[in-house]
Amino acid sequence: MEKFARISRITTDYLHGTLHKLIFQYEGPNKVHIVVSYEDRNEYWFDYELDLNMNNHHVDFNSHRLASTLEKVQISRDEHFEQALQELFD
Amino acid sequence: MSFFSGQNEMNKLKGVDTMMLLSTNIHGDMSGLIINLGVIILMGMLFGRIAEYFKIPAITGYLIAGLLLGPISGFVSLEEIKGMSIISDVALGFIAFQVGNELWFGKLKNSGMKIVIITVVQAVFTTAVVTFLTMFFVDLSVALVLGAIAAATAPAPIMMIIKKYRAKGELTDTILPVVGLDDAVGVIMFGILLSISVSMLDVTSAEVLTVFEMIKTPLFEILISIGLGGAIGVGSGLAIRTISHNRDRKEKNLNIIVISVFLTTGTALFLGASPILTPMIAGTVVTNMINKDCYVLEEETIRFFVPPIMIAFFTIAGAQLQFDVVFAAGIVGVVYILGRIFGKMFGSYLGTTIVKSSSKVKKYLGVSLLPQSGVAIGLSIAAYNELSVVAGPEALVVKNVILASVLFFALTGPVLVKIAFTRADEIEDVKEEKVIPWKNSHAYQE
Repeated sequence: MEKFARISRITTDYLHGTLHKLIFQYEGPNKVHIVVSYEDRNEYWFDYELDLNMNNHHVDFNSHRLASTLEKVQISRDEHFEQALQELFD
Repeated sequence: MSFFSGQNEMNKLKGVDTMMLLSTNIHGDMSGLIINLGVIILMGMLFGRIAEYFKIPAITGYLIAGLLLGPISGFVSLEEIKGMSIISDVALGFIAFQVGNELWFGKLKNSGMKIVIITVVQAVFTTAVVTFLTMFFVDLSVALVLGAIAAATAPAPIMMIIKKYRAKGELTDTILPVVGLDDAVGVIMFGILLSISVSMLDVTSAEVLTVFEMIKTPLFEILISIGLGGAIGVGSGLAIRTISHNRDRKEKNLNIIVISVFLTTGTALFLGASPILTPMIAGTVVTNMINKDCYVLEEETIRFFVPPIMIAFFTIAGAQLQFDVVFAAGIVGVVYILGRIFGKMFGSYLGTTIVKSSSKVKKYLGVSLLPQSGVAIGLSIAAYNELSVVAGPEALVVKNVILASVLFFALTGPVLVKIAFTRADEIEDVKEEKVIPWKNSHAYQE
């Protein structure tokens, strides 16, 4: 549970939003697809998707987008957030 | 008696097997339509991905795919597009419902009166300026619709720049809530002005309208929309509130939303109410009746269900662009674009002056509000659907001018937003990153 609480803190610190949903989807023996859904203070919603390699514990960027069907756009990745996540799983 | 049962009776008389006829219908008429739809969604999706790769909102990619399929290659004709009108009606219903969902009164309260004033002043001012300037070139009824659509703003390019350059400051804090409310204000004005416009066009030149007659029909239409949208919204809100926390929760939520959108759009079209205002009011009622958890679930459910409909809708919108009409109405398009730039800049200046914002916000908010995309396209198609019944050429001008100008603002918008934020000194100097979205292999190696 502590790990999940830390993801919530990382989301607030680096993405400046509130963690709303966290999905861990196993896509094979050595790969986990992670979706971090968060809300910023202006009530915009974002999905940050990453892949966790279970062998070397590397977090690979997948996508970061504004979660809207009308305004679908790729947003820049946040390297500090990804590094913090990687450290968490190391 | 439905169309099919009527045909069955006829076929029994003729001794034709029903199943055979159905099969013939599917192979003959429907198969082409279904294949076209598949190709439209495929092309839209591909060009949406390409647009995202270049950090342009996906909608621009859908429009370009439509341009390729329609006016450029002729793969989809305007006649075939007419056969897909159900896609546009349903998509417009979802767009309006989602815009209504944004009108959560708690959010308005959180945003504060200053934001509401800025949003309303700049939207009304932009509508007034575009209406005033374009009425020298087109009928007042058309100018009103163009003015109303000019108010809409797309948050995607703004969000993209803010996130990419980690923008921080007063301009950032002002623009995000403003752009969140802007579409709702725009859609309300659009609903009202389109009704007035249709009533103005729906008279013969021999008739002379009194002011009462001119506002009677739109007023009636708006009242029916409020009643209908409100009633269906209350029913949906109550239904969503009663959904229990079990595994079927998402499915039940989706059913209720689809029913609400279909009923509001369908009954609005049937009763002559506004097919934009009615689902929007239902969306507003629903969002204010449910708690945040239900709202989040509702949004997620919509996001899961509507993407193919939206891709099809925006790609079809692009396929409807007629270059000859765009060139013929060229001056109207130029005036619309210039009027919108002037309206947004000075409207924002006026709004921010009223609420005593800093000089930085006064100066750069208007430029930052120039991007336009999804909602504007939706409104132009809605305007076309309604106006084409009473005035075909005018409807064509609205649709083509907006589609062409949306392409202009979609491509220039992000650049203008970046310039505004740079001049406002609110963005960090961030080095360009190398991301390969086609292959997820860009890890941070130690």
